[in-house]
Order: sequence, then C-alpha cells, then structure tokens
Amino acid sequence: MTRSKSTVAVLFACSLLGLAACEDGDDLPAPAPLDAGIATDGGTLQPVTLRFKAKLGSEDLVCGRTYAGQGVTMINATPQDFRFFVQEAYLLDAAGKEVRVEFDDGLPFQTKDVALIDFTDATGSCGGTGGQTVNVTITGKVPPGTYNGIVLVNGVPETLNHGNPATAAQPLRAPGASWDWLSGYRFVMAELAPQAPGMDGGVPMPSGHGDAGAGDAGAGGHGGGPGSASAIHVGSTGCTGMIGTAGAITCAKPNRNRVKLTSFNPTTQSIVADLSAVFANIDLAAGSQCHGMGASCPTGFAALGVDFANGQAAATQTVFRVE
Amino acid sequence: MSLLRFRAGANLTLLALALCVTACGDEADASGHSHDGSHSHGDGGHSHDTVDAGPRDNTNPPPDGSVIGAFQWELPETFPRPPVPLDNPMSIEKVALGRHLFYDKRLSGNETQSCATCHKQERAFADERTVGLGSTGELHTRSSMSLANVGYSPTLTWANPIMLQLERQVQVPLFGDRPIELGMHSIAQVEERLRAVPRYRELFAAAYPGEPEPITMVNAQRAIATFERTLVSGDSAFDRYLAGDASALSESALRGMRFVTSNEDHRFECNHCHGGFTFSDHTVYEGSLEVASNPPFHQTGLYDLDGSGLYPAPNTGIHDVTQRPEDMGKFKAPTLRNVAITAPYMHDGSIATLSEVLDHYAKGGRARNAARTDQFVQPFEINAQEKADIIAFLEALTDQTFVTNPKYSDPWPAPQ
Repeated sequence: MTRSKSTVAVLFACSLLGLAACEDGDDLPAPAPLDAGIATDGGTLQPVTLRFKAKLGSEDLVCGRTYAGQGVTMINATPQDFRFFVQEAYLLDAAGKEVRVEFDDGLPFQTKDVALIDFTDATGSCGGTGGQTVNVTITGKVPPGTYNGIVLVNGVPETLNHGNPATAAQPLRAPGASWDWLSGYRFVMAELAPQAPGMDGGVPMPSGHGDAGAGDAGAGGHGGGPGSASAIHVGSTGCTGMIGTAGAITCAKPNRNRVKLTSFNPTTQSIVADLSAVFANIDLAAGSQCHGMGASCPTGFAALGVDFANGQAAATQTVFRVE
Repeated sequence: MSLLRFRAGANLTLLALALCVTACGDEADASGHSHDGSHSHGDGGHSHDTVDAGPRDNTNPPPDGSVIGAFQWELPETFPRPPVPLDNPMSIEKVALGRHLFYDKRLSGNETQSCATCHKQERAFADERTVGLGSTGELHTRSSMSLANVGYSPTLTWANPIMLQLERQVQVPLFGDRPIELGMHSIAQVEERLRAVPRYRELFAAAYPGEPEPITMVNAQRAIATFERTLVSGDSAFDRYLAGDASALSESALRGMRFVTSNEDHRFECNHCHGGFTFSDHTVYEGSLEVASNPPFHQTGLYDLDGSGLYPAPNTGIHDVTQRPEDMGKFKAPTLRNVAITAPYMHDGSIATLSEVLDHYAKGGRARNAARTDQFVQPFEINAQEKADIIAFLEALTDQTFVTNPKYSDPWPAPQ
C-alpha cells in the first residue's frame, strides 16, 4: 500500500503536532493499525495509547468498595491510594527488540518525560490522596510496526526526581506524590485501608489528609498501627548530596522496577495493575507502613518488581499483567 | 579578675576572638570562624551563591541592585550576615509577606495550625512539647526545633544531611504525611487558598512586583524563608557581657561560661559541638568557608538498643536519609541559645531538664556505645557547684529581646 506524498506529508505533520484530528482521521485515510506491518517512510510515527486498569484480584478497583480476602490475614479492605509514575515504556517488536514509546508532551497527566497513572477519584477512602480525576492512559508515538509486548519502568527520571515540585510541571505537582524531606518522588503509591468487621462494601472511611478532622490518624494518615491504612510507597532511598542544587543528589537505591510483559497487544489489551498483589504478603490489620523503608517494604517492593536489598529492578513481579 | 578589666570594647573583642578560636574543633569548617572584621569572599565552596557582603556595616544595605526595598540587616555587632541565596534576595516586602504566612492557620488543611503553632516566639520559636503534634492529631517523632538563627544553619531539621535550603524545608510540614503536620493537600490547594485572601493580593504583589500572578507556592516558600532568616537572636546576657557589660554575668555564670565555651577544662568541651556565635557546629554565614555538603552530625549515646548503637526507628538520625550503617544515631547539635526556655531536650524530648542533660553527658551518654558514640562525648566527673555554674551560664543565653520583639510577632489583627 502506498500513499500520496501529500497524505504522507499531512500524516507526518499530524504526528509531529499530535493533533487530535489526525487520530480521528476525518479527512485522511485512517492511520494504519500498528500491527499492519506498514513500511516506514523515513520518520513517520504512529500514535499509540497504553491503557491501564486497576484491579483487586479479578475485581475492578472502585473507590469506596470493600474487597474481601486482602493481605496475608485475608481481611476486608478498601482502596485508599493507587497511583504510579511511568518514566519509560517500550513496545517489543517482532524480534523482541524494545522500541521506545515517545510520550506526548504537555498533557495534564504526562509530559514527554514522565506520566502519572492515577486510579483514584477522590470518593470513598480515596478522598485524601490523588485528585478527583482518574487517568488510566498514556498516549504517545512509536514507529509503525508489529508489537507484541511491553516494558514499563515506574519512576521519575533522575534528572527530574529531585526538583522542587513547586516549580515543576504537572504531573510532578500531584498531591502527596513527593517525599519533600528527601526531595524525591513517590514512584508508586499503593494503600489499602482495613474495613471494620460488619461494614458493608461501599461505606466510605473518613477521608485522608487535608480534610480530616482532629484525631483522624487512621485513613489518610500514615501513622501506622492496627486499624490504620497500610501503605507501600516506593521511591529512591539512601540519598546524599544537596537538595536544591541541580544534579547534586545521588541515591544509593534508585528503587525503579522494569516490568516486562511479553504478550501485549496495545490496540486490544490493557495493562492490569493488581492492588491486592501489592499487599498479598502483608498483614493489613497491622497498618504496615513502607515509605521506602519499613518492615513491609521487602515484600511490597518484590511484588512491584524492585529488589529492596539492592535497590535495583528485580527479575520478577506479581502486580502487573495483561488482560 | 584581670580579664574583666577593660577600657573599651577592644579587650572584649579579643576575649570573643579567644573564645571563638578555642572553639575551633577538628572540623575545618564554619565552627572555626574568626571575627577579623572583614569578610573573605573566597567562597568557592558555597553550596549556594550569596549576596556580596560589601563592607560589614549594618547601616548600609548591601550594594545589590536586585534588592527591592531598602532591607537592612539588624544584627548584633559580633554577628556576620546569614547567607542569602541569589534567587531569593531579602526585601522588606518579602519579610512582611513571610511573616503573615508564618502565622496563618489557613496554611493547614483544617485551618487549626500555622507554622507558629509549633514554633512559638515565646519559646524562641520552638515549643514546650517532647514531640510535635500535628493538625489532625498525629504525633511527630521528634521535637520542634528553635528557629532562632535558623538562617545560619547549613541543614534543616534534626537529621537531614541533604536538606540545605530553608525554602525547601517549608514543604515538609506543609505536605508531609508521615506524620501529617499542617496537612495541606497539594500545591494547588495552597495557591487556591492564598489567592482567595485579599490581603495576600497586596502582600504578594508588593513582594514580587511585575509578576502577573505572584501568588504561587514557590513565591510563598521564598517569603517564608526570608522571614525566617530575620529571626536572629544575639542579645542574651552573654552577648551583653561580650559587648562590655561586666555585670551581665554572675560569678557562677562566668565560671559556667568558661566550662562551656573554652577548653581550659578538658572535661566538658561543649564547644566542640556547641561553639561559636550560634553555639552549634552547624553554622554557615556570608563569606564563611562552608562545607555545605558535609556538615557534622553526632551520635551522643542516647540509645543503644542492640549493643551495636541501634537507635529506635524512625529516629535513627541521618541514617534515615543515607541508610549508611555508620550514620546510625547521628543528629545535629542544635543551638544552646535560649536553651533554658526550650525544654525538653534532645531530638525526641527524652531529657526533661538541663540538669539531666548534664547527667547524660557526665556518663559519656546515657546509653553510651564506645564504638559508636562521638569521640567528644566522654564521661566526666562534675560536682554540684559546677553543674549549677554551667546551668547558670546556659540560662544566660536566653534572649528576652528576641522572644518579645514585636517585629517577629503575629501580624494579623486579632479576630473580632
């Protein structure tokens, strides 16, 4: 299949400008699907949308809903936070080679450098964490080709990780996404709050930081202890240097994963992130806290594909899958 | 005593010099400063650029064209200027704005607390608690530090070797959730709240003229830091003694002064960590040869839970940040200025009185670990009189002017 020069030129321009009309293709032939094997034409890129879904086991994540059988003690719990940054995504071509997805720039939840996936909508126990808007996609561009598989890295690029959130562009100003005392971002924020026995699904817990009244040390706070929400927060640790001076911080443990899913068709499938899997080996009744460090970190990190001991990406993970 | 016979300030300046020179510990950095009346500007080692000092004359503003409004430091004669980052020069308008923000309870999520809640002027901008209490009822694990002379501190908080900018520290209590302190939800919430207050429209516009929307988080944090830099405490009885008032210190306090500030008596050597004009070894100033990337932290033998120097989590000192085993239990030596009104003591308020502090040091640390405890914390003998003398001197470091100065107080009109 060939294209006229003018069509190619328009497609090329559309790709560069990321114009929505190009994806709708009103006046143009529809862009070829990624798996159609179109020969490249010296630089034409195809749009791609990576879709994410949050689940607890086989059930969709809905803020405010109660889920049975969570954590190692199999209790009822409700989601309180589930967000993560994605700093790199690669699609695997037919030869298994990793082809980088260029993220679209200047959107509310992403720049060319980093994207934030946010499953929380400020209802139920999700009230205190992220904002009201859910974001489950990353849009970007790849060279045309046949892709089946994806590699993802949860993190904020090192060049941006230690900047001042007050001067950063979204999504790096997201609420509660920064460890201000370490000047680094929380790459993954996963929290489950236990539900008292006898509570039915859908009964919201008190909302979290900022809106809570006095004494609300349970949902929202990270004081830990029985009855309070358990948290797994992943970010770089073991940091030295100087906050505020560009490039001057180095962290002995980057704590960035590298998740590889070898069977993934971006046009028909989603990447599922399973919040239950994060806490599968954690006692949710105890209010376990992992803020880069903590007794529950090794297992929480391992589920997310980070080796807690050395701060490097681990070979296995249990949170992400394809559906 | 011959030391007390003086004509002009000259001999006391010499005394001050002597005190400061003998306070020079092994650290080759700011604790060993000398008051030679002029500044060296060979400060290539600075972590942030500073405003050029010019001649050290408190009546002339620095020759820096970027200063808006004629801000003038009002410093004790013996004090150098605090360092000021080039991107946040001092101005009268920023100080006023920062002072309003510091005392504003709208900067907490539930509007019950401001910075001043845990940093009270009458307590030298610390408080009376063992550990801080946040706006939603969560307890901190550490006590509020005094903000007196905070502008001279190269790092902020009890044990964070990488937090070097006053501007950035503000975000920790504002947004921190481990524990929740002021409990603001997001940068957007801060900006929204401030923009809704007409007084801030005026204050921000005055502090940041020419900006189409000056009410931003980054401008707020700069203003708060600017106000904090003005919190200078240097008018205690000890300072008046140095300035020529021979009657300012009692005989007991004078003996205590020698125990604390000199090494004549090798038992105490407090000045190794609590030395210089800030009575802390964690000091930088305009023109100092600062080693900002490696300021000292000390393990003083407060805990030894496992026989190897383990401190209780999460208060493991700078180890919490660096995760290096050798950093376990190391904390900043805070100022001794105003120490008599900032009880209880230590990072977790676990020592209630100055007398008990001295008992702790007399043991070489109440939970001393010979391998881990700082080399300058050694056991010593001390009798009741000597203890009383040291405490008398420490009480002489209280600066009543500072804790009552109206220019540092709450600027908001009282609610009707």
